[in-house]
Amino acid sequence: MTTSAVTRYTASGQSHDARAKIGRFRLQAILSTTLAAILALIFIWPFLCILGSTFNKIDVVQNPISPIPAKFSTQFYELLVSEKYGFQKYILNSVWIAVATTVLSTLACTLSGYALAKLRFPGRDVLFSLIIGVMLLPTATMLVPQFIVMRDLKLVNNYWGLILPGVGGGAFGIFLMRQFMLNIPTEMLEAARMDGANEFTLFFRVVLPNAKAGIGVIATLTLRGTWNSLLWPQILISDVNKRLLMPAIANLNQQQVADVFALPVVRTAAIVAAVVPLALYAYSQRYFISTLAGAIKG
Amino acid sequence: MASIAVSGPAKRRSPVGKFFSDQTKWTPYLFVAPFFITFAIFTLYPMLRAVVMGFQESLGYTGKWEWVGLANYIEALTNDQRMGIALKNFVYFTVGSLATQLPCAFLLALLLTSRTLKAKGLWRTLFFIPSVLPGVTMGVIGGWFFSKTHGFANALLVSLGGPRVDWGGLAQFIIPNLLVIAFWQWMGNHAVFLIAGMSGIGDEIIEASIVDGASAWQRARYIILPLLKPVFAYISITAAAGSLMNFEVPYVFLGTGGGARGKGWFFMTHIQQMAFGQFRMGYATAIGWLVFFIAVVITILQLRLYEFRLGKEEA
Repeated sequence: MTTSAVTRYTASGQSHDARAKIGRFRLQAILSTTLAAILALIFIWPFLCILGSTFNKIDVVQNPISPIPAKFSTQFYELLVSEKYGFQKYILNSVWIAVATTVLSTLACTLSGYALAKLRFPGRDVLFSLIIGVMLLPTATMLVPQFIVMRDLKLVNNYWGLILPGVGGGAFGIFLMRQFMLNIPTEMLEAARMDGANEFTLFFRVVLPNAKAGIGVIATLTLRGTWNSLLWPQILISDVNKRLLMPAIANLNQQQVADVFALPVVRTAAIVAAVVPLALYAYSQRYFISTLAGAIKG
Repeated sequence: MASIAVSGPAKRRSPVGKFFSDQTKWTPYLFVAPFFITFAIFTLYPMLRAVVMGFQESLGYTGKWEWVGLANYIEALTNDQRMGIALKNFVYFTVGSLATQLPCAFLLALLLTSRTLKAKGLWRTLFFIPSVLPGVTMGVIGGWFFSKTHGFANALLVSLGGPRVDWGGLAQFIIPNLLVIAFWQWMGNHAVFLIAGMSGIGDEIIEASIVDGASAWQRARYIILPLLKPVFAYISITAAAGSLMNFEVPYVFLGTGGGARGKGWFFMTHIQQMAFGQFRMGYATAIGWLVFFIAVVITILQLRLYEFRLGKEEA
């Protein structure tokens, strides 16, 4: 009698306690999720508004704090690819440059990263320190002499002037790739060598397939970096027909006094320009954050 | 590399021939060669040229140069108003960025790692997105946001009964406006890096603190915050270096004239304008060297301050 009462008491007490705990947990979940949702909404609201404004009809007043166009139309997108503005040309130019640079640069990063992580050779540590040093050097300040050298090499107004400097891969990309390659088991490479694979077969057949995640991250970063860059393509390419997207947007942005449509077209172009990095991010975000975190954990 | 030809007769191998007959010996150098070759041609050689160019001035766009000695450096340090403006803007912008973004990023990271939160990935993605957008897009959005007549900020102010502010026309708004854009662009990015750092903190430490009765605030302040020091170091180094190289947003947002009353110059916009607006290549190179040294000093100071060494983890 007494025991059962005690048991009942504890049992009911426990379940009451547990229920309260679950209730508190739920309340916290609702609170934290609502807070995150409200903050995120405030954060992206202006983006939605400017996106909405690009779908507005010309000459219809749009409330800047509302993401819904006053009158829906695709007129600005049509203007963007019209004969007068011709942004499709700049977009194509940018795509071609970004893809070429990315392919070559990623291959070089992969090769270097692999050699620095998995091959033994005299001078390896010195070379790796050099790459770290280059990574920390503010080489972007050397813009003007780099331009002068390009001019001497007759690479001004030439796409090779944009592509060639990236052909060797960047210091940061090589550093990141090396960190990746450290995870590839050395025994696997040794086994392939035993089976008679030469160094090139080894790289293309064994290393590359095992470095897909790393390659994905480096390629994403390079593609985004090349696509987004303004300064270098702006000073190197002055020929209008060869111009890339970012300089084209920046240039049109400076003509807004002379041209009433310049500003809305610039906004529309800026939205279109954001599509590529957004798509890349959506595609690669799963490994992206963990990779970068792995690289900075000190 | 011309020595490859020497390997000729296979009978008596020279050391060079031996080197090239063993594939495992030379392939590593072949693999790292592209980087060092392109670095030598497109970065190192220009830097060496730049040593001379800093003491020269270009005669227009002709490719002819005139030796001017230290005149460029003296002008940049003593007689160039824009350099002073750029330095001040750099300091305000860097300190302002870190002071506004880091605390918010830390709080956001705490919220986004809270155990009760649903749909964690979605929120992280939303806050991270602005940092992947092109600087040009951010500059254009900033221009729209702070536009006097059609802008978001003024529409919001007016709808709340406030005045219409001429954000672009007043010099005192330049840095605050850029800080708002930068906050938007980078705060979520910092938060995600902090979250990544937090995931490296062992569960045992957190659980031990719960057992010891630490409140959520104490846990955040005395356990998580100190353990995130390397991540804060990484963020502030890259942020300081990034704002020294700040170009795209100010260039698009403020235009080529340096913003209202010419108070919006940054080092890179100044260099760009000097070199390609006024064709003073030598002078622009000299400024480039000054900025180069500022960047090196900042990096070294910060590395010291945080006792943070890159590549330490594999030791």
